[in-house]
Amino acid sequence: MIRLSRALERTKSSRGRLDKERALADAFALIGRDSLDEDSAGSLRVAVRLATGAVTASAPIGVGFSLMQEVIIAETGWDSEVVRACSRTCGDMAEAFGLLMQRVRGADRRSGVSLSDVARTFELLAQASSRAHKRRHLDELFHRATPLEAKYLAKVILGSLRTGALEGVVENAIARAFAQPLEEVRRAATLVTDPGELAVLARDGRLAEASMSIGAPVAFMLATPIETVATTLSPAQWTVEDKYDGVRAQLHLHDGEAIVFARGLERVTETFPEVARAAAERGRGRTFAIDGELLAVGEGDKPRPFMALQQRLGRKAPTAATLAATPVAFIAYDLLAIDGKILLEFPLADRRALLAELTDALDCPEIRLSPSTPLLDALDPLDPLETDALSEPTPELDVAEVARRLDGAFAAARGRGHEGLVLKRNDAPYEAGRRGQSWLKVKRAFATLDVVITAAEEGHGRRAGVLSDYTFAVWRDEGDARALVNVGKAYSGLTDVEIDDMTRRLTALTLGRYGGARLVRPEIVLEVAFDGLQRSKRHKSGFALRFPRIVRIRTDKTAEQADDVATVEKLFASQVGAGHREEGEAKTRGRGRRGMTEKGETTRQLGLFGEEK
Amino acid sequence: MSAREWAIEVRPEGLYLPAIELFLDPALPVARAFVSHAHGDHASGGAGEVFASPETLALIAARRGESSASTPAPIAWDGAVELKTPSGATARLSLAPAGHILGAAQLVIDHAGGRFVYGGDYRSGGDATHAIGAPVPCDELVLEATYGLPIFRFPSRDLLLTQIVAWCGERIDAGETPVLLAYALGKSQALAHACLAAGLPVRAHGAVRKMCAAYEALGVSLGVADGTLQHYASLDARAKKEPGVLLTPPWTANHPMIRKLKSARVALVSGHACIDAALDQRRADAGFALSDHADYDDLIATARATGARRVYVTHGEELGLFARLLGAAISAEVVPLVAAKLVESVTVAGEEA
Ligand SMILES: [Zn+2]
Ligand SMILES: [Zn+2]
Repeated sequence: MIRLSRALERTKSSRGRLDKERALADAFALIGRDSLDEDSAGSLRVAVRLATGAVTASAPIGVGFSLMQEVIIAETGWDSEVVRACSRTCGDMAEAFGLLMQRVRGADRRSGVSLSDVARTFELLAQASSRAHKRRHLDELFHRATPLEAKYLAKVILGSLRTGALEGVVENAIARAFAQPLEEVRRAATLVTDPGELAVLARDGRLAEASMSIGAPVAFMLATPIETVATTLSPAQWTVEDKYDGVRAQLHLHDGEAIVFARGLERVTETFPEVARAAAERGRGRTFAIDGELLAVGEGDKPRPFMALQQRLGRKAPTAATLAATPVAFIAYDLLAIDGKILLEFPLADRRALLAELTDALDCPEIRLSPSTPLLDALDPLDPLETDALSEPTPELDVAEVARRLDGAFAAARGRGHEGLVLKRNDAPYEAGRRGQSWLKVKRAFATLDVVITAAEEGHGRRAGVLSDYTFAVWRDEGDARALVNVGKAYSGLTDVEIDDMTRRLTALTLGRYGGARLVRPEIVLEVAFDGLQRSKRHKSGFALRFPRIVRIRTDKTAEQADDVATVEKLFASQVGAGHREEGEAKTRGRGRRGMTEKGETTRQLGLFGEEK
Repeated sequence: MSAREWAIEVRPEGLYLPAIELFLDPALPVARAFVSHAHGDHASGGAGEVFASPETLALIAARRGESSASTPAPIAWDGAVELKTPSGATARLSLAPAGHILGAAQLVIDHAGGRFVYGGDYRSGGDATHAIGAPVPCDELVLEATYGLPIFRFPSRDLLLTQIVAWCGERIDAGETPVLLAYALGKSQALAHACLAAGLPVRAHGAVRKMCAAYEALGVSLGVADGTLQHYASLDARAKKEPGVLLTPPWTANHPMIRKLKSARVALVSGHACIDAALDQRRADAGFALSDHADYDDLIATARATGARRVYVTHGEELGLFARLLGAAISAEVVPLVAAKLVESVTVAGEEA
């Protein structure tokens, strides 16, 4: 573990990606080549998994911030107020742990923990059912760890290790460590989703043997977001599907066992028992792997917004009442394998045809085929579902024309209660793990508002020390006067240079400090885009924006020219009309940022099964 | 003289001693002030009458030009100034080195009721560019706690300077350009001195060079006059590519000038460099926790060594917490000085923060 921790410490600076890869590669090579070590393959497997921030190959270990804090208090002797203050300052509890541990007498002279110790402890943590048990395993581990090991172990446990999240760094490091062609490593990586296994295959020169197997998840093929069509595409080669407002998932049936994998490839079978049961019962005797989306459905099979699905996320074994209140369907849109045959190299058109056959045979409301339409038809100004007429094949529409007609199709998808559209190339293979040009998602911002910054906070991680999080407000009439009422908070959208500049301006506008927040004189106007509105008591305006992001700083506008609540009300009304929101207030679970009901947090929440709240 | 008369007040302008009508490092213009050192956050207010060390007054003048309307009232290191209190008693003001930067002084006030010390920005120890800061025995102490958390523990200054010089040397040997991000006044001069002493060529950002020149005028030679320390922006394209250390303030870290420099390897030199997020923010390749402030252990040891029975603490994000920790570590009453006005305005305006 000490070799790996040192390598991770060397990779932490963000410049010099090559240095990062080299540091990791050196560590992997050393760990994997140690023939003296009885189980060098086992150690390599663990090291690579840890470097990508993965805790165990399968089950989550259920250790959250509060339990980790207890461990830090016990190990370092500082009280909770100190640990919290230090974590705040570092922007990372794990790093605070490492720094505080440097003060523990003798900690820097410890011999450290081995990778197999770590793996064993993580397995025990995953199995331990009580908090007290988990606590004991953690104490044993950290009591032997060096300060640097403690930092990186805690980062893995708390999910704040981001080295591996950097696209491709670990794959490149594996290729470099064992002198294998990068292309082969990448190809294998999409099929063998456990990076530890991938490294062992690379070490042993067996990458060619990598293949998908039903029952083990494959990295999802991803769509490239586009605001509108920018290049000429020939409509005959594309089909269009609605973009769903749910959770991306894979449904595998293997050896009679149905498994649901969520976006992060973690198992969520027990959260969606009706889907698993339907697959197992209706698919008896077959094997398959379907790619699709979990979606809450309402009356008349109408899709419900993501907010509704939220009631089902993060809950193992939902009660009958929950199942009845929020039924979920698996909307199938791609087929990766069927009856032992791997289809990844097949063109989409063929996979879709086989998928349609399969869903027909399954014939159940829990697993449905996602409707898809040839792009030519979708571009027809008529609703494609309303007409049987096949349009005249239009060989090459010019960009402007496609864009214009796509607007209509987009509006139609919104009208059906979906987020937007996905365009897919008929002849493309399933490019596992890639965000390529074969799938394009047209997902436009719902609207934009001009808002005024009323408060600012320091960000976390890379954005610690600068004011990168802004609370913003719109105007509300209050008798003769107008007052600013907050409507949301945005975390991103500006470049580092812009954030530095904003930090200077906001510091100058600071009226006072309240905890970590600075109240600022309301002068700076932002244009924020967002994907939807919901009623919320969190903000004084009575509304909250979904996925707010900063489009630009409106230097041309004064605070007085910002939007007002009446505008927000109008937008909300139009959105309810289209079925994107349900009236009534969103229930926010948990607290703080981790409890936010944003879709971006889904993976995190799913990954927190069994965690104490 | 009553103890009450020697109370310290937090006013919107800054810390205030009503007994002698003196503001300490005020942020706004006032009638009479003590300025502990020339950093902008301490010497920003300006005042009718400014008590400060001769070096501090010289550095302030160099920063701002000579246009300031203030009347400088230098206190010599071996001298003193006497001020009358309303009750007719006399208070004697003298200086003691505060470490920190060239000219940085602690204000020592001896009055009938005892000794009051305002530490300003403080660090125990010195280096080639400034005097050695050391605790001054007193009854009451104002202590600046920028690094008042136990995660802040800095290695020795000599070790850090050696490491920084070695890092710069390695980068140059590898054909890269070591860029040191450091505060233009104080830190940069310490770094320039160490690099020049090791024979490394040094180029400086304009602000850094200006302050180096001001140091040199005060007797700390930093190669400005003899041209050893070059002004980076004045170099032609070819000269910029020559091997050498680039010294520039942290705010330039994300500036295109540095981001475009392909060969640049950036190191943040600051007490905050022990935190990864600070390095990430500056996109630094390395960090060195070389600080001109006291670290946590130095703060505790300093407060203890003065023997003060009351310690006021200022600065720092977690002031209340530090006050509690310090109170538990030494036998003194510890009082956090929070800017009162700010808190008030927040409670009025704070609708939901
Ligand atoms: Zn200072
Ligand atoms: Zn200061």
